[in-house]
Amino acid sequence: MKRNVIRVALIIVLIALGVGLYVLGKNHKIFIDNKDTVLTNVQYFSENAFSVFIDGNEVVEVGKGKRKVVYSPGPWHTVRAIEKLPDGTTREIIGRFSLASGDTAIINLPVLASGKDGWLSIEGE
Amino acid sequence: MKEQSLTRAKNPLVRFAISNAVPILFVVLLIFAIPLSGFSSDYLINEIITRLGRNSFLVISLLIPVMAGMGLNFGIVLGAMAGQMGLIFMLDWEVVGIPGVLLAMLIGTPIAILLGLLAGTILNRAKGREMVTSIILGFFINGVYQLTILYGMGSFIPITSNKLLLPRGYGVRNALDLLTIRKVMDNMWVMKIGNISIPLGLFAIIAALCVFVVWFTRTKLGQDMRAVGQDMQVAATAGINVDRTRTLSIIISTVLACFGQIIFLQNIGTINTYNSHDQVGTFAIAALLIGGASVAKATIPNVFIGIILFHLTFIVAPRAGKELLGQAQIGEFFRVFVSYGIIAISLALYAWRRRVEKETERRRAKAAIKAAMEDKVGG
Repeated sequence: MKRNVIRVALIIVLIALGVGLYVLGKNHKIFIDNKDTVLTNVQYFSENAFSVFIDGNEVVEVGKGKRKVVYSPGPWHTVRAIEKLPDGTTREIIGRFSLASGDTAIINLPVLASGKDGWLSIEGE
Repeated sequence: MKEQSLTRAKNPLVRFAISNAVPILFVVLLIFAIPLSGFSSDYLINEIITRLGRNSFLVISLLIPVMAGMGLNFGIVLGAMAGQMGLIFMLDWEVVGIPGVLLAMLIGTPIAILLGLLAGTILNRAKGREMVTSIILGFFINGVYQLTILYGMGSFIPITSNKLLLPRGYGVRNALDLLTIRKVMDNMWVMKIGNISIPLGLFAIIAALCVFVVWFTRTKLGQDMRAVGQDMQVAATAGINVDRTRTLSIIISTVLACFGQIIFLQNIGTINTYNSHDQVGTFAIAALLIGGASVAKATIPNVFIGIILFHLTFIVAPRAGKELLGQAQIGEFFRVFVSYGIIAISLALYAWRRRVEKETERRRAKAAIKAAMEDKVGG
């Protein structure tokens, strides 16, 4: 009896470990949009190019009106966008978000740069 | 008579040379081949370090069945197949990095346990012929594996990724890219000394496995395995469940081979779905034998000496062949010839030693009986 309980407990622990590893390692598709958009009747214009880092990975250059895609694993993500302003200076914006397994994220850089909510939309699988 | 005097030589140097004939032969071979190849020492050291990390786990997985008297477990291909199935699921679920490798191991483990159980049960019915049985068992399970991967996956085994499936909608493609986990274990913790990179993280895992093997030999189960390996009848008389002990040794070996194949493939960066596992047993066994192991005795130093010598031969043989004969292909043939040839030589040497030992024992027993009878007659 005791042996069976230990066996069942071990199987449950292993399944839980598997689920944990799946959540931690699941790769997510993240679209980065630098496009004009309308959000709750407010229009946001794509005016500048951005250098974007997702979770500290390689930089992604997103020009005006462009969309790029990156892949990043795990449930918790950080986006660091560096906006290249017309006067030659830069401005850094940081956003954080989390995704469930199977989610795809779309980040809108003009909205993120404005500091308003709604810069992230999540689509399930 | 001459054979006996060779194995029972009094000169320790001669004894050492006889018992380490294979590694010495390879050292001599390499002394000539390395300068001929023209490779720099940095390149050779880097290659050897990479190959030590890549192959050690697979070769160490052979130690426990040798301890249990089951010879060289050609059935580690079963574990390799289990590991590859784990990797296919990991790729389909798009799990990447270290969690991906661990998940592949987790998925591969129950498959490896089941295959190990099957192998152990069959090998228990073929006592004394374990090695040839495990070779044939590997061929048989290879057929089942190919059937499962080619027809089962994508039809009744859910695989959804189009990157993995053949255009017809079921069956896995011939080559799969492991870019998402490529060298993640090698790059976990790396130390650089000049031009040489040492994957300390991976070496720490291999060291932990070595510690596990040493610890395991001192446990009750490890001692039982040794007893079974020395004499099954004596072990059974002592109350050891011989069949169970032998089966456990094969299960442990298969599970370790499953992990070993995953570590091997994450280093390579691609899976050849239908034949990555084919040569695993042969190459691991050849490396262990070149390290000075035999069918009846294998230790951790044999593993590392063997990998270094075997893979150095692998690296330098094509170039040495090219320099010497103008054709790299000859070096390639040479290394295949070396792998199979060394297994054949080692097995023949082992059989010869066993025959000589038995003959010596028989002569001693005969002499003892003769002496006892003379005493009786004299008394």
